[in-house]
Amino acid sequence: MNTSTFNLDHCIEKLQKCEILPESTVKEITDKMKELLISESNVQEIRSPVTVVGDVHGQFYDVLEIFKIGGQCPDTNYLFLGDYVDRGYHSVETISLLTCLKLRYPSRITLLRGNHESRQITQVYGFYGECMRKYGNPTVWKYFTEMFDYLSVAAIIDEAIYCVHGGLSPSALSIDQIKVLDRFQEVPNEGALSDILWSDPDPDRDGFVESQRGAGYSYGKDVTLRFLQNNKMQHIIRAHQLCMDGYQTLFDNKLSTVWSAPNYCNRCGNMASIVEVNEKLERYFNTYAAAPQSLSNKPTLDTNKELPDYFL
Amino acid sequence: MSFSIPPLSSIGNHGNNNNSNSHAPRTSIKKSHKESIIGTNDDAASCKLSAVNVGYYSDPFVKYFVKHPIRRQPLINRGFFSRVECIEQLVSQFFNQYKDVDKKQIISLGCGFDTYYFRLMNNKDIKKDFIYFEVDYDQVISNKIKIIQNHKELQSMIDKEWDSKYDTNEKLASMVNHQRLSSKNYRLGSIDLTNLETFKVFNELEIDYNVPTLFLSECVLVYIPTKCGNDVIQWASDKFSESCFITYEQIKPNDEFGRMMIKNIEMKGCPLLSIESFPEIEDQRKRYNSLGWNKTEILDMRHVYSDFINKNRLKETEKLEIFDEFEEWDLIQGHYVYVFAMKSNAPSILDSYYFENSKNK
Repeated sequence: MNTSTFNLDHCIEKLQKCEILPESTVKEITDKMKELLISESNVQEIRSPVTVVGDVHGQFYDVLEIFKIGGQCPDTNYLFLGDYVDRGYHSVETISLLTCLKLRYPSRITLLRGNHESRQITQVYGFYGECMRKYGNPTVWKYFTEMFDYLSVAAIIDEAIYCVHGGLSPSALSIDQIKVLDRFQEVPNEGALSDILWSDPDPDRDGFVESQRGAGYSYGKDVTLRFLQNNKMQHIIRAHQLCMDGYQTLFDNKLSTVWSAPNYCNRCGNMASIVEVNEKLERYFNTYAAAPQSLSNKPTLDTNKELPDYFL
Repeated sequence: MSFSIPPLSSIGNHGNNNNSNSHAPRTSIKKSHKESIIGTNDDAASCKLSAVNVGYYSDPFVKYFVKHPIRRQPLINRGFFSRVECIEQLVSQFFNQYKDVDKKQIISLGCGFDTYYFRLMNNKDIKKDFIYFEVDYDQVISNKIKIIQNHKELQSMIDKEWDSKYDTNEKLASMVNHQRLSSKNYRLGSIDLTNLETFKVFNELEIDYNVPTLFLSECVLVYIPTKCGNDVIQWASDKFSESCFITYEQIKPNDEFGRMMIKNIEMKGCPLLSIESFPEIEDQRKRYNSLGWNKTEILDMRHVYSDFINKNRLKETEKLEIFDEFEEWDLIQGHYVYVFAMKSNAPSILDSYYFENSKNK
């Protein structure tokens, strides 16, 4: 079945009003997306100017804010670093919208895989539950999690800025090694594909150390600089870790973390940011607070859990 | 690992924003406010059941107090596990300090549906030379008694020490009136912590002011005005010369996370009334030390987890479920503390507790 441009525009319009798509449409768009993604490399080469977005975790109204602040797609080129789902109340709307935008403007938006684009973790952290509530069965969850297997895992801006969700792997010190990984699978518990989605930089410890997250590693300044040198890169942009100011730079400004979910889970009170990379490869962190609508954080009709959990 | 995840369901709408003037010192709690405070009890029971069902610790009793089991996020499960472990380790030390004394008391203030009494009685390794007192709002105590009356498994933990001439139904009925239950090891009564007059319930429950006594108050004093909380803490140190007071509550209202926490909890209808008076650990310490306690040790929950809790328990429980909330864990757990205040005539007792010094090892 051919998903015409007209239909996609209609889907996008619906989603922007925070209305979910019917199950059959989700099947269509995820099928089309898999066809599109299969021809993308593990490591996508993209051109500046581009705006890089970190974790959004189902915070749909904040995603709409991102497009207001950074410019609508396709007027602005976007690179998303993953973690579209889980934790927020609108994972379905978020991933549906981004999928439709990618189908509609494939050369203007790139979607990478985060560690939450996985079957295992989405059963614990909310996406599965949300699909069950909104569709009454797990089919939509299955469609999206199958689609996640196809997402690229890294991107390079102007052959100079390496972008990935988590970071480095001791099993893939060369980008060429990442290019030849078999990415078309559930995120494994270990190995290079797992590491690059789960790892974190550590300003206090050199080398690779097993991560307390139970997957991936922490990587120090020494291995980061060596990675940049050996792969002829100038900078790494990654996400994965909450930053109270919305972003953090490390290792003499050789690595940036961008975090795009403000007031994460309606609890953390943090700022968020997007990184605007211009043609000179300069990076500007555009920071923002939670969208006014998301401050009241009313989840859609069928869940009545309004406020975040604390220990009471 | 795969889990079947039931749908999220409401923890109850604790709406009714309290609009009273925040400048005037509060001396009482309005009715709707009281309902919301009582609601936190259901929340706690539900979270504890979630942690138990995942396997963090054993509690065959909490399920009787929860109508709709919901699985909570891993951070909440791990957080409640940490609380239970911390209390167990502190109470164990307390019992050990006074092992040669044949009568001890535990007083749980704002007990809610907590099941610690039942777990203690169920533990073969614990000597049953203690009396466990629980006090809370009248509604809570009545409901708790009703639930106990409806479940033999709970009654059996209370009946054992009674005379064989009574049968089960008579035993329980004779122990119970409206809002009170009185048995050899377990006594329940109603109280209003903002009104010291109601503390006479302890006399009615035949408390002994001359035996080592440990107070538990988890997320209790923070819901009542500062002055009322001070009165409770002072009353405890005045009345009991060999005692401990354990408080679990929130701190740090002034950073971004703290401000959001204040706002969210206020929207649940049970504002944190005393948190602004004791924003930091040292403020909490000054509070207890100025209200008659000899020594006060404090750990925030990050340190309770990483330094105080038995490492083997951490190893066992970290395998139970995927955990991807480290930054949030640090944030939220940095905003909760356990306060362990001690009073004793024997300096050696004050010096031999192991709590805050676990940080330095």
